Amino acid sequence: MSGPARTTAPPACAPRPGAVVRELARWDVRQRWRSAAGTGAALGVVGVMVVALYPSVGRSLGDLADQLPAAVANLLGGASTSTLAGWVEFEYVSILGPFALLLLGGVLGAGWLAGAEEERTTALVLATPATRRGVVLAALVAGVPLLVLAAALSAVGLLVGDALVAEGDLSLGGVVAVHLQLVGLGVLGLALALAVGALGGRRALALGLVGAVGVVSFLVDGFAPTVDGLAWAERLSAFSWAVGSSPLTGGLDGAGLAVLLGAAAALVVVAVVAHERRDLHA
Amino acid sequence: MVRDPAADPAVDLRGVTKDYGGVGVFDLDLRVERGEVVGFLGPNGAGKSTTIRVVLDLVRPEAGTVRVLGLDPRAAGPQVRARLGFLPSDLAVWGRATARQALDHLARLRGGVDPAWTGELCRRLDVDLDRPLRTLSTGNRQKVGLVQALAHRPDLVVLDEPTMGLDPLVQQEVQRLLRETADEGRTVLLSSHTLSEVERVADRVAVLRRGRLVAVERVAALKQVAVRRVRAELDREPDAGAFRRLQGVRDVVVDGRRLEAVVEGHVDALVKELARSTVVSLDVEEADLEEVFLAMYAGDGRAAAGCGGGDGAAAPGHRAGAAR
Ligand SMILES: Nc1ncnc2c1ncn2[C@@H]1O[C@H](COP(=O)(O)OP(=O)(O)OP(=O)(O)O)[C@@H](O)[C@H]1O
Ligand SMILES: [Mg+2]
Repeated sequence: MSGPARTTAPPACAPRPGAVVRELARWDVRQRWRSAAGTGAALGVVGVMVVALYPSVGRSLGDLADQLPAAVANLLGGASTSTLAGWVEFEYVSILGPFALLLLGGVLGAGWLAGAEEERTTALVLATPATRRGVVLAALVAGVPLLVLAAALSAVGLLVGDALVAEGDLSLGGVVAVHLQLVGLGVLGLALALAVGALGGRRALALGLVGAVGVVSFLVDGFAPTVDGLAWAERLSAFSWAVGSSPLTGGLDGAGLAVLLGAAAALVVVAVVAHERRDLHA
Repeated sequence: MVRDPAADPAVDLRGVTKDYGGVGVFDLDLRVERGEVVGFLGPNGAGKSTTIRVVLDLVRPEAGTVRVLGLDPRAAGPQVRARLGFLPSDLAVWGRATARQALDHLARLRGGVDPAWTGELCRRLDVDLDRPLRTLSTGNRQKVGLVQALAHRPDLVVLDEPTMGLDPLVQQEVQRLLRETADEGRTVLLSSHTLSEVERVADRVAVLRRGRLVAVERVAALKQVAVRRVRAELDREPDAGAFRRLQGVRDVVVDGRRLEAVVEGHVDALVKELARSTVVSLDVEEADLEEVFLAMYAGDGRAAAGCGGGDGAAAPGHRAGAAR
C-alpha cells in the first residue's frame, strides 16, 4: 500500500503561512462547492424562467402593477414592470437574488467556522501549523470565488432567458453590475457568519442572524421609502446598498458596493480578533 | 547566551489554572522530559483533556506558564505545532472525505510528510484509506487519527485517550509505535482512565483528580512494589515453611504438589527456591499496578476506581509539587 500523501519530504520548520492558507481554502472549497453550484444553478433556472415569462405574464401583470398603490408596489420591488428590465428587477433582482447570495454567504461562513467546531474538526486543523487567523482568512479566500460562481450562473440564466425571448432588453453591463453588487452582499453574509462563529456562536445562530439581516433589509426596503420621515432608514438595509440603485439599468453602484465590502471587512477583523482569543473546546 | 532548545523539557507547565467555575484544572505543575512516555491518568472530569488543550493552545489558562518544546505555544504557535502531533479525544473527522484525502490535507498543512512512513503507519494499523470516514467504525476512525498524529514524526506526540475503541491487537501495535517513538528520543504524553492501559508503555504516570495533580510516579518504582500471584506445580510436595521464610513472599498455600503464593516486588527469591525441585509448571500473574497505585494513594482510591464520591484531596505527603 502506498502512502496517501503524495507530498514531499518533511520540512525543517513550519510551512509558509501563504501555503497553509491556500491549502485550508482548497479544503474549504472542496467541502462546500456543492452549495454554491446548487444555489447558482437554481438561480440560473429561475432567471431563465423569469425572463421567459415576461412576454406572456410579465407585461400584462406589469400594466396591472402600474395601477397598484405606491406602497404595495414598493414592497414588491418598487420597479415599473412595463419593461423587461423593470420586470426582472421586480421579480428577481430586488428580492430573490439578494436573499440567495446573502444566505449562500451565510451558509458558507457558518459551515466553515461554527460548523467545523460543531463537527469537532477544528482541533485537528489547529494542531497543525495552521493559525486561527489563517482559518478565517481561508474562509474568505474560498468564499469569494464560490459566491462569484453562484452569481455567474445566475447571470447566465438571465442572459439565456433574454436570448430566448429575444427582446434584447437586458444589457450585459447591467446584468454584470447587478451580480457584482450581489457578490458584495454575499461577502457581507459570509463575513457576518464568520464573525458570529468566531464569537462562539453556533452554526444555527450564525445562519439565523444572516437570515435576519435579509428579512430586515427586505422590510426596511419595502416600507421606509413610503413612510414620511423614515426614508433615512433605507440606509439600514443591506439590500438597498446592493441593488437599491437599480444597477440593472443604472450600472455599478460603487458607493453601495464599497459600503457592503467595508462592513464585511470590519466583520472579518472582528472574526479574526475574536477567533484568536477564544478557547476552542472542540 | 546560546541555549540548546533540544535540552528544554518537552512540556513544562507551571501553576496552570483553568477555572470552569469550580471545575477545570488548578495550579498544575507538570514536566515531561524529552524521550519520555508519560501517562496522564484520572477519572472522568479530572481535567486531562483540559490540560492537553492548554498544551495545544486550544484553551488559554487564566494563570500559569506553559512551555512546549522550550517555546510558548501561544506566541510561537506554528513553530511549536509543526513539531507536535495531536490526537483529540472523541476524534471527529470530515465525514465525506476518505482517510487518504484527510491525511493528505493534514500533511499539506504541515508542509508535507514522508509518504513512505505514512504508508507504513497505515499498514501497521491496518487503515482503510479509500472509504468515506463517515462510514468507518469508531476504532477504524481512531486509527486514522493516530496516523495523522504520528505521520510527521513529531518531537512531541500528545494523545488524548489513544486506545479508545481499539481492539487488543491494534492496542498492542499502538503501544509498540509509542515505544519506538520514545526510543527515537521523541516524547509522548498520553491520557487514559486506567493504569493498566498505560503501564506497558509509560515511563511515568501522573494522576490528576478534580483538576489537581495528586501523584507522579515512575512505573518502574510501582513495579518494584507490585504484588504478583505465583502458581507452581512441582514434582514433589514443596516445603511450605521454606517459602514462608522468603523475603516478600506471603499467603503461601500448599496443596499436594501445587504451591500458590503472593510475591511483593521481584519474584527472584521464590523462583530460586522453586528451582531446588523440578518445576512442572509455573504461572506468574501479571502485576496489577493499579492495585499498588491505589494502595499507595489510599484515600483517593474510590474516586480512582471510577466509583466517584471520593473527596479527591490527596494525603499531603503524596501531593506532588513539582511533578518530577
Ligand atoms: N468548555 C467547558 N465549559 C465548562 N466546563 C468545562 C469545559 N470543558 C471542560 N469543563 C469541565 O472541566 C472539567 C475537566 O474536564 P476534562 O474534559 O478536562 O476532563 P477529562 O479528565 O478529560 O475527563 P474524561 O476522562 O471524561 O475525558 C470537567 O468537570 C468539565 O466539566
Ligand atoms: Mg477527556
